[in-house]
Parts: sequence; structure tokens; C-alpha cells
Amino acid sequence: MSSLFSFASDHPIATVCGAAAAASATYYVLKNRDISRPTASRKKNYNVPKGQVLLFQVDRNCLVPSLAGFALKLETYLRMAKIPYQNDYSFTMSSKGKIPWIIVNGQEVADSSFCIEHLNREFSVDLDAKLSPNEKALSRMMTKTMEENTFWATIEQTRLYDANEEWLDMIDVRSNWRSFFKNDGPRIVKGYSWGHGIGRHSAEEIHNIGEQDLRAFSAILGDKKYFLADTPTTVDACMFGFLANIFYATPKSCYCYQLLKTELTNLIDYIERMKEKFWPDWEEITAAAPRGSRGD
Amino acid sequence: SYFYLRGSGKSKSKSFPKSSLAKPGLVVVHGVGPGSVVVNPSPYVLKLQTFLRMANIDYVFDRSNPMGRKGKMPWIELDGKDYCDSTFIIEHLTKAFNVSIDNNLSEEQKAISRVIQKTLEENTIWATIIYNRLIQEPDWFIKMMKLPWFVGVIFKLFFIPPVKKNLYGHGIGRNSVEEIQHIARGDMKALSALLKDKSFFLGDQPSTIDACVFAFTVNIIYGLRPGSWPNEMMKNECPNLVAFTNRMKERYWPDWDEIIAKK
Repeated sequence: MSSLFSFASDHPIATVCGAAAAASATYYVLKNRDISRPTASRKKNYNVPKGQVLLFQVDRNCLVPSLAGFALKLETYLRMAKIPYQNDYSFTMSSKGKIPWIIVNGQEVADSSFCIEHLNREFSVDLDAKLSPNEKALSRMMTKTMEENTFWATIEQTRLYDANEEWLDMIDVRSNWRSFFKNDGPRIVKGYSWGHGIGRHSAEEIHNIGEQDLRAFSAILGDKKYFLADTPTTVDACMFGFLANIFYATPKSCYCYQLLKTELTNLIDYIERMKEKFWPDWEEITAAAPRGSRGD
Repeated sequence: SYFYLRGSGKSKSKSFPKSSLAKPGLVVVHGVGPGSVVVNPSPYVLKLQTFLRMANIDYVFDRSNPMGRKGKMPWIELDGKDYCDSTFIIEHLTKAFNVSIDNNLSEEQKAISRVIQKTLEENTIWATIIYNRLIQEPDWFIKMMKLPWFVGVIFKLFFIPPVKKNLYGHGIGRNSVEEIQHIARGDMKALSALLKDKSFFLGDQPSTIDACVFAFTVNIIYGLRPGSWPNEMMKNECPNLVAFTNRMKERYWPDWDEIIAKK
């Protein structure tokens, strides 16, 4: 220690610079702890043909075409609107640091809801044309509830905290992804959910929140085929994206899967109806998805 | 909401600082006090206070210890126990006091009420009140709350940076100003369309959702700088929401002016 002190007093500038460099390096490393996330960097050119969409999302999975609710929502919308698209599974993040995002006719759009609005304009699509103003408003409220509340209380909570091991076993992803979902994923999302607010509640309270939301969706659907009309509208893409992920890809021991199975069975019928209609290739896709257990 | 001290998270301790105003059967509501233009700047606190008035439940407001065990407000004390989170509190009090204001609602109406509430509380509040008040125009808010200059400095140095982080964690903070305004407009227009020309959201009589919506709309109309974009947006584009807000204010807060003048 005394040699350190004498060094410091002889070389004050070097000491200060060294300490500052060490502090910055430590800060930088701690701040970027999540660089273990297996994302890809952006390419210079994507050469997307005109009139076609390039959809950036996560890899296919053996349980569900996309483990990411927002991506399944957007891809279901593309199928509903009959817009031609290709998938990029490299997990390249958007300008906002998330997926899904798209490139279409030379433009990049991030955020699934902004993507839908942009595509509606670009391809002159209006899946909600027959809805009344009241129904369109309800569509908005349901979407926001699912995306800003239910999603946190069901998918994030059960997969990352309630039954992480059970979930990792069932999704059977490649080892780098398994490692990310086990270690950095829960830590990053904990920070996000604390900021959001919901992360401050106990697990039981979060389950209560998710349960009430799911009951509300079930009550709004009732015995109808789709949420707001006789034919699917935009909200159905959203609801399916998340409900399918709850039903097929959250741990079966968890409260939200159990709730659907035992009480909210109209939501299960709905999920299966939407799956048949827009994902006739569901079995094919999930069977061909990469699997950790096969050493893919 | 946005006033919080990071340290007091999921506290496991059973004790909390008991209020001197506590009496058996009396609800003690904790939160920060009135602003100079709005009875409570927190829509969650004001929603709870409005609900208590609607349900005719006796309560007092205690400005000491505004943060509860989750580091947020409102929180309440009732008969020696504390309760956090405005929604959980309302659910508990509805049972404890046999509140009947939502008894005539169908399951579907209750469901619609739920999605309106969650949209406002988990989306709209970020895009409008939190963003404009704390990120864009904190000086107006500090002045409105009549905070001394040094408290204002502390507020800007220590309370606002975590809010920026929360906005990012939530997701909405990754958007540009125009995109945030677009999100706010979408929510406001939807809210306006759901009310239409009715007196209250679910019919002729007020229900709990009206307390919730009122607490938000009144904070946008009276609790943000006149001329700020969310304030202008609601006044110019959603006149029925302005009328609804004033209707609720007259009905449940005839002492509004008296309360805001007291500070």
C-alpha cells in the first residue's frame, strides 16, 4: 500500500487518469452486461423487393411460430391483410432496441403498432373498416391493456420468474438462447418491469392482475367468433399473438395457463379458431423449428 | 406513479409509520398534498379520493409519509393495517364497506371498465402526464406545487432521471416526441369515442371507472400547463371529455377551489 501511495504522490496525473479509466471501464462493462444477448448486427443492405415486407423477429420455436407476442401479432396481421412478406430470424434489433420491426419499400418502421399503421397506409388496408367508432375505441383499449399490462403479468412473469426452468425445458431452444433466457433475460426484464411499475408487486398480486385482465377479455369475447365482428379485425391479430403465447408457450403449471384451461375456455376455442384460419402451416413450422435437444 | 424512493421496494417488514389521524373504521389516505391548481397531481391518489367520495366512505388525507411500502402513493391505513396500490385498495374497500356502485354492471361492462382503466394507467399516463410534466416541463410543475427552489433542484437532480429510465424500461420512452403525441392522441380519441354523448362511461349513473377517468382527465385539463400539448389536445379534440370532467368535478369536488387555495 505504501508503495502505491508513493507512486501516486510521484505521478499524480497518471494516477488520476488511471483511476478514471478504471472507473469508466467498470461502468461500461456493468452497463453493457446484457451483451450476451445473441443479437445480430445490422447489414448494410437488405435488398427487399418492392411491395414486399421484410419482418425482423426471433427464431421459430417448437411450441409456437414466435415466442415474441408482438412478433406473432404482427405476422398474423400480415397474413390477415394478405401482405407479402419474408422473415429475418437473425434477431437484429430495431432502432428502438426491440423486435419486431420491418423494412418495406425502402423504409424502416419499428414498434408493431406503428408497423400496422404504416402498412395500412402503404398497402391501402383497413381491416377495421366495418367497425363503429365505439368498437374501434374498444379495439384500442384492449390492445393497450394486453400489451402494456397483461403481457407483463402473464408471459414475462411466468416465463422468467414463476417457472423459468419448466419454461426453458418446454421451449427447447439453442444453448446460447437458453443461457440468455436463464441469466441475463430475467435480470434485464426485472429492471424494465420495476420502471413500468408492475415489478413492485408480489408474485401473487401480479397473478391477480393477469387473472383479472384475462377474465375481462373472456367476458368481452363471450360466445362470439372474433372479438369485435363476424370476421377478424386488427385486434384479433393482437389478441391471438399474446393468447397463443400464453396457451402454447407458458409453463403449464402456471396460473394463466390453468385459468384458460379450467375456466376461460372460450379463449381456447378462439385461439384454435384463429390458428386454423391464419396458421394452417403451424404444425409444419413448429416441427421444423431449431431445437436445443437436437443439437441444432 | 412517478414519486418513489428506490430503496423502499418489496419491503418485508410488517410495520409502517402509523398516522396520528387514525381512528377505527376511518380510511387514512397517504400521498403528497394538493397542487395550486389541482386537488392532487397524482391521478392514482385522486382516483382513490374520488372513489371514496362516490362510495360515501369516511376518509382523511395525511400528507406525512406519502410513500407506502412499495415506494409509491397512494397508500392507506385502515384499522391498523396498510394497503398499497390504488386498484388493490379500491378492490379491498369495495368488499370491506360493501360498496354497491358497480353492482348493476354486466360482466361485459365491468370488462370494458377494466380495459379503459388499464389503458389510462399503463399507457396514457406515460404519454401525457408523466412525459409532459416531468420530462418536458418540470419547472412548471415545481412552481405549480409551490415547491421551494432548493426542493425543485433536488427534484430535478434526483427524482427525474429515474423517471427517464422508467419511461425507457416501460418502452414508451424509446419513441420520438411526435410518436408519443401520436400515442396520446390515439388513446384520447378512443376514450372520447367510448364516452360519446353519455353522462358517464357506462350509462346514466357514475361507476368506479368514472372516478378513474376523471382523475386522469382533470390532471390533464387542470394539472398541466395551459397551452401544453396534452392540455390543448384534450381541450380542442375531446370536448365531451372536458364536459365529463367538469361534471364530475362539480358533483364530487364542490370544495375543489377551497382545497387548492389552502396550500
